[in-house]
Amino acid sequence: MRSLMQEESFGPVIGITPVENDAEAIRYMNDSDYGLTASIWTQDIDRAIRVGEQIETGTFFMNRCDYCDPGLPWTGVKDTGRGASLSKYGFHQLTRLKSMHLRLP
Amino acid sequence: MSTGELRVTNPYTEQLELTAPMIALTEVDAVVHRAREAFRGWRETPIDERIALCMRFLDAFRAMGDEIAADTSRQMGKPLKQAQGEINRLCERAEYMIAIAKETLADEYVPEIQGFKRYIRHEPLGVVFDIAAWNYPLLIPVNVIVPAVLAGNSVILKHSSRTPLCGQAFEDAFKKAGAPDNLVQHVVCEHSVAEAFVKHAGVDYVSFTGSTRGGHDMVRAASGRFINIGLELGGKDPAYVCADADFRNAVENCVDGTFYNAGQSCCAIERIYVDKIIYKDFVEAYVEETKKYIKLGDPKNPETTLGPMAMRPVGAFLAKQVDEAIRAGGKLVVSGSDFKVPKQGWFATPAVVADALTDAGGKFWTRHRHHAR
Repeated sequence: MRSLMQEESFGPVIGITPVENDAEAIRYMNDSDYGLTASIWTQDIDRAIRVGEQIETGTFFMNRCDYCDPGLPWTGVKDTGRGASLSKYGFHQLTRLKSMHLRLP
Repeated sequence: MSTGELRVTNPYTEQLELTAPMIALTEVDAVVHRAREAFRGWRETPIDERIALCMRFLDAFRAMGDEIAADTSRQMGKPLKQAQGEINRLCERAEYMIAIAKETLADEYVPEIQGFKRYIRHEPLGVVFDIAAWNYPLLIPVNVIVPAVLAGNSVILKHSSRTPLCGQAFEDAFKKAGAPDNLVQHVVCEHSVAEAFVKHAGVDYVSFTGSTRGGHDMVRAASGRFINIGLELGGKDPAYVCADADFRNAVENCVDGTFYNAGQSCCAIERIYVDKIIYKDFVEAYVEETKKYIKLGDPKNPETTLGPMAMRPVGAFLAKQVDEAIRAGGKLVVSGSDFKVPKQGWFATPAVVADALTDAGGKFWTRHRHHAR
């Protein structure tokens, strides 16, 4: 039950729910097996940052959504996955480090 | 060993659109061998040449754009206009990765110690095996392929069984750009054959985009190996609309974020929480905007904003989710009767459920304890 608000739909359906305050919104937003992106819609950037710091997510947006910015790592938490693509960290994923340690003659 | 044939049905016409031969398990080794040969030369190629190749790849891809967009749309059903938009975004992403490649991949020097030269090199991994998904069949592969090639790797791309032509487009565009033989190879194969690539000792990295279950399959297939696997799986992305939000902007963006690409986006908005002070107004405006936004129809029609679903059974699954939400007390405020649903094609019925129950609390932790076992 309640899968509309829990289980990935991957289709043109959506549920909308009222919330009392930020604390309740945070609790609901984190109530998920996934964590790819989350968005807040507000004019108050301090509030957005305060909420965003408490959300278990790979990307946190203010006044934007459904967007993947190549300058920032595309990544997720929980069952959303592992690793990151895009940004400089996308290169780190596709390379390995080699330490060159040379004593000069 | 017999090699099967992949059959792709057009989700709008419901007719067989194309067939493609699949490689057999016995061919995996040869594909990996060719990729390793390509890697051997490519890793020695200076970064400026790698950058130049990727720029020529983008030119070639752009030149093939009309055909690629049409192929994308007829394989997985997204509106042609959205497929064209995807090509533009692919170019933007690739251009960004090209722009930062030289600096990011350069040797890093650490504070000097008398008598020593010390630096950190970013070496390519070798052969990258990329398993891509059909929902953004151009953006998803480019995230991996272009940076992989820039870093000096070779790539084997296994695209979704819904979008083999999109995979082929990457191989073709790299060929047209003058890439060394087999630097980027596309393969069409079954799941079991894809797992054989993951297990192959000549594959150095696996990137997988798809379902959470598919991700678990990949991790299991790679067990016993120490390679890294990048996983981009599902999402249930929430939006939180505060009372002080720019109301129109929030409504319009939340509707677009929900229904673009028929919601078949891992970062689509899938849950909306709204401050109770503006809740009633928000739902009203969201319903209005949704009715205006959604135009179901032929993906080729430039007016169409919502095409058929890429997978036939999805409609029934969504209907079940919506039914359950209503039985639990939700209110159906947008339903199929608000739209003209075409008679042909794998269309899902759009739905908006207000007062959808959510239950933060016990269930979440129960689920996680269960996972921990």
